[in-house]
Amino acid sequence: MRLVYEEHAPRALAIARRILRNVEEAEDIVQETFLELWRRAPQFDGRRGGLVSWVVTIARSRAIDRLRSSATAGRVADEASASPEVHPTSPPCPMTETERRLTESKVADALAALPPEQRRTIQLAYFDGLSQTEIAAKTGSPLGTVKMRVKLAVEKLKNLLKDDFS
Amino acid sequence: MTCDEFKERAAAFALVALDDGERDACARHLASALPHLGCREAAAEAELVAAHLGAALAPERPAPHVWREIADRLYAARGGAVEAHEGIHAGIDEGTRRRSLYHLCGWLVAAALVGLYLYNTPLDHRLLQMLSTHGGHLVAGH
Repeated sequence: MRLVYEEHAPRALAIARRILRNVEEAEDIVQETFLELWRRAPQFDGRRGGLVSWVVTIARSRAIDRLRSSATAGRVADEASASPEVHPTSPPCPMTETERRLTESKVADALAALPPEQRRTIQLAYFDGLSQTEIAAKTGSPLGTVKMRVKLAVEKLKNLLKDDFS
Repeated sequence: MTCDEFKERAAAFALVALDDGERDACARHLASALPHLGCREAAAEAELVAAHLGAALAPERPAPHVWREIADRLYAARGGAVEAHEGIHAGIDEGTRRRSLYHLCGWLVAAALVGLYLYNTPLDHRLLQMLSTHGGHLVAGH
């Protein structure tokens, strides 16, 4: 369990902190994530994207639940920037770091390849944890348009990142 | 909810961008035992995209107390059987396994070098003794 934590907790913290904008709350989410991971370990299905995907999915869902329950979505959305923040961490081993930077660069390129309104929609949904309804209210776009942008953007990202999935 | 309706929402479901009611309905549909028409595949693909998006953020190492608290809670919950839990170890992904293999190879090479050194040291010592003995005879012969 310690091994899994060492490997994946930094990603869980990064996404939780991005959504909640608060280190203490984000660290709470990391704790909850790994306790849930422990409880649900027998349900893990490696065919669905590996352990890192599972960790990130749990951490993100929990962070969004907390964000929505604390009703601070509006405040966070106002503070949201167009691009994700980058926070330094202790230096990992060179191989892991190279692999991470490669993935980071591929994801950044894939996001950059989206039409601007789709990219903005994904940023608000994924990195700021807003629901489609909240995005529609924030951007002034019709809800149906937001839904279509989410669907098209994910479809396009899937095609752009598919080499990484295999 | 039908399978088509679910698939229409799969991307937003994976991004946790649905409102609570729709999100619950999607979760119920996905968990239902009905025969599905590609719902699980659509959800898995969208979740994979969502998980990859997380790579756009630089990882941040949590403070040391975070792991200590997790370990304490797991210890309390399982009566100290934390490391005995096999399920999570089965989930260690390819990267972790590869690194473990590299570590194992490193240890094997180190062990082989030590073994070789230990094996050769007495031999070298004997050779030196023989050389000095024969060398001494040769010098005496001259």
